[in-house]
Amino acid sequence: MATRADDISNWQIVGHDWAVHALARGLAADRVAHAYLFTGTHGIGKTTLARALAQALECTGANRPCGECAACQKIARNRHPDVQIIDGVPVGYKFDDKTLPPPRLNESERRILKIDQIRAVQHDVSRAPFEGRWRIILLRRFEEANEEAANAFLKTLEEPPSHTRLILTARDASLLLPTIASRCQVMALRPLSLAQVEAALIERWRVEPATARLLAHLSGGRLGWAVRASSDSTRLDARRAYLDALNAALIEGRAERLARAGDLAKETDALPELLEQWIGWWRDVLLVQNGESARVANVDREENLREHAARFRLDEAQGALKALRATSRYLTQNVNTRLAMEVLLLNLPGS
Amino acid sequence: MAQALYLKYRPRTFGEVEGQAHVTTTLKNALALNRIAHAYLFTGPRGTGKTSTARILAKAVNCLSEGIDKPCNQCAVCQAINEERMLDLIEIDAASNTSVEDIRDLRDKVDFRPSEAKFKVYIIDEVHMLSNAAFNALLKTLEEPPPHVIFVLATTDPQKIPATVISRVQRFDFRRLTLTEIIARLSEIAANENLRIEPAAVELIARQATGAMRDAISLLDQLTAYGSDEITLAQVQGLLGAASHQMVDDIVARLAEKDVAHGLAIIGNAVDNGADPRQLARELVEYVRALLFIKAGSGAVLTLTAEEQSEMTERAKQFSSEQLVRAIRLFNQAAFELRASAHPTLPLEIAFVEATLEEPASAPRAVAPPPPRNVPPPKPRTESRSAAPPKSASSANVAADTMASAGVLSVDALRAGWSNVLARVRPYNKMAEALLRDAEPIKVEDNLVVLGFYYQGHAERFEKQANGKAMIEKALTEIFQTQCRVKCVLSPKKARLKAVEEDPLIRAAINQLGAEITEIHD
Repeated sequence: MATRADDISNWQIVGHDWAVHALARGLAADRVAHAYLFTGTHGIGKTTLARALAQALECTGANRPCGECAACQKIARNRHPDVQIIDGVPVGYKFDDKTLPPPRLNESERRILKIDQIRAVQHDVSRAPFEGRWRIILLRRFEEANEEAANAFLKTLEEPPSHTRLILTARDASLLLPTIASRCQVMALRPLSLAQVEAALIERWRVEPATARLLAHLSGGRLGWAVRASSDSTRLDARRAYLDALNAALIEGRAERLARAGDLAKETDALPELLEQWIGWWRDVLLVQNGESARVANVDREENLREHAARFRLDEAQGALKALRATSRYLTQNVNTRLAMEVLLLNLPGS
Repeated sequence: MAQALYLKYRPRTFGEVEGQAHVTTTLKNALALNRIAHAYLFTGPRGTGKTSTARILAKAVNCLSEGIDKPCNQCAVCQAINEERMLDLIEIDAASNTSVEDIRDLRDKVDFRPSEAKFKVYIIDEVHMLSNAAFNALLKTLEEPPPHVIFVLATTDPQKIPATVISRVQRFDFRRLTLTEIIARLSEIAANENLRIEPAAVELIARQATGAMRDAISLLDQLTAYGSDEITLAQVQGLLGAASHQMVDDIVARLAEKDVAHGLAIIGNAVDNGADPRQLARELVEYVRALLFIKAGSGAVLTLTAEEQSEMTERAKQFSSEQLVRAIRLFNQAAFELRASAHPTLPLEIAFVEATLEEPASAPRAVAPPPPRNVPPPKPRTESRSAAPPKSASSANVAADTMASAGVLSVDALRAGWSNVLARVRPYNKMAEALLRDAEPIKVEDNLVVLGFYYQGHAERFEKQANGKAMIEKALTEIFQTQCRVKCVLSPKKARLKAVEEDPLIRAAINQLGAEITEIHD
């Protein structure tokens, strides 16, 4: 059955073809579910897809979503009166109608979706759409909803008013109450292939081929992450600094490592990113040691990787990974940052 | 706009509620005998039919039909409820109305008589979210409601309901649905909706739902949107990001051969081709678990085809049970970590690499017997503690058992038989035995046994024990068949260790760097 819904180029989404197909066919057959849940790691394209779905629902053009009509344009700029985006608020934030919560500082900032916000949504969904066909509520990172908020949302989510469509995004369905996920149509977005990310960066975002290749490999298939990194050169600079620090630490003795740990621990906000880069590095070392160098992420430092792969034993690389992952777990659990970093650096091989 | 399938196919009679016969039969009998309770509590996992059954019960008690089979879904009341316009069915979302005010409001209105039906039915859904005060405000009403009121509380979380509430209601536990029940219901719905669907696809959907009917129907609903003639297994796999059976087997085969490079390449390709890493990890767990079942000889419970069975039996032969258990643990942990991992595939890759490696050396099987060292063997604490103290009557037997090996009195013989000595002291003087655990025989001169205590205080206390010394002398005499005397000193080794430990440099190393004293050289 080749209908127009099979052509999905107007959705302007890179990858996730299966999901877009399902949504487009649902739209064509007038079978759009009342609630969707898009899951996947940060930067994988959940909000982008949600916004495209909102455009498709509200679009007044011929080929929905056309991306050109007033409705599509407004949604792209977050200005549509019937499309509401709900995001968590910072811890301790006082909720009121007048002032909006400040924008998110970085990906690892902790936020909460509160019951007041859910109550406001419940009030909003009961009103008829103002200028479009639907009242659409996009609730981002629903895993940040606290228990009261999530429970309060159950009934609305199961049987919302007929003019309402709800879209939730979350890192993973298992981080939500099972009763929430089971009321939605869940679409678990998967990482794109690295080639897809690379091609999209070059064609659509006009990134230089060499940088595009590196970003694609570092992204692990997260296009959103790669795009953000491509427009923000500080990210790559920071990565270089982190890897240089790792290289330096590996040839240092205990005393120097302790001093370095103290310095690193001062920049608490940067630690999650630093650990992520280090973990990625040791993963690559492990891959090279096992003869799978085709899949390494740090493609710009292959020489360096080969050197480490030869210098350290397999179990040393594994031990480093274990220590790093334990540390990133500790850091989410309110430990003494400096102590955690000291233990980590002393546990890295080579001293 | 079409209605969601799971709402469209909400059961409307007791017979349609799948898999909860223990609940529905009881309720039907209660209806037939006119013995309806005034309050019910329905508990069970998501998507097992709690709210649906509550609504059916509301219809059944109010149904106007003369017949036995209630609800009829024909009479005015049944239809009003089905169309959600019945004023006497009051459905309350306890999760949004959690406060005591909400319950007070409810209590005030309970006394009003029903407007058109026989009973006013209150369905309080997600009742576990009520505040404590709200629960307590409900207690009196729940115990003795007006005769025209029936309460039905529904929750997924019964342990959050106060005991005082539970004791006032009839509780029904809904259970997870079996695979067969879900498959049957899905096939029925598919037939009704004129959907063609491969049996293997139905099975995968049912498996994915893990016992929750709503999840299964939601998934089916999502697949109908694909709009093709027949729903195929490949489509379901595409939607779920599930890897094919073949691919999972391939990965496990590489695991058996310890071919890390190829295994990682297959995982990478699978993810590049749209498999969900987390789903893949779960499938690996499932598969290895099946291998373990086959290995244990209980493959019959797995409902495999003959072909799969023989293929997997071959595969299972390549692993030891320990390897399989370890692989399950590793992949399971990877599946857990993947849900919050920034890097989309890393935990799975690491789990695979670790699964190919040998057991870590600390595992009991791999440990070589400890090399002979010039230190006393570890005191067998747990051994002697768990061994039942020989009663006086049986101590002669113990002596007989050990005498053969005890032989001539010497330091080595004493050390080897130390636990026996302790066991003999214990029935007479437990305190002495406890103190002796922190001591070791140092030397034997003629018949004088010198005991070195690790702590000065212990040595002193042992000397003060009324019959401690006498006891051990008696025990030694019995074991070695010669008259023994005992002398207590402070163990020189321990004394030296203590001196070393008090050295500020060494102490800093222990406290701050986690050092351990393993040997002391002069």
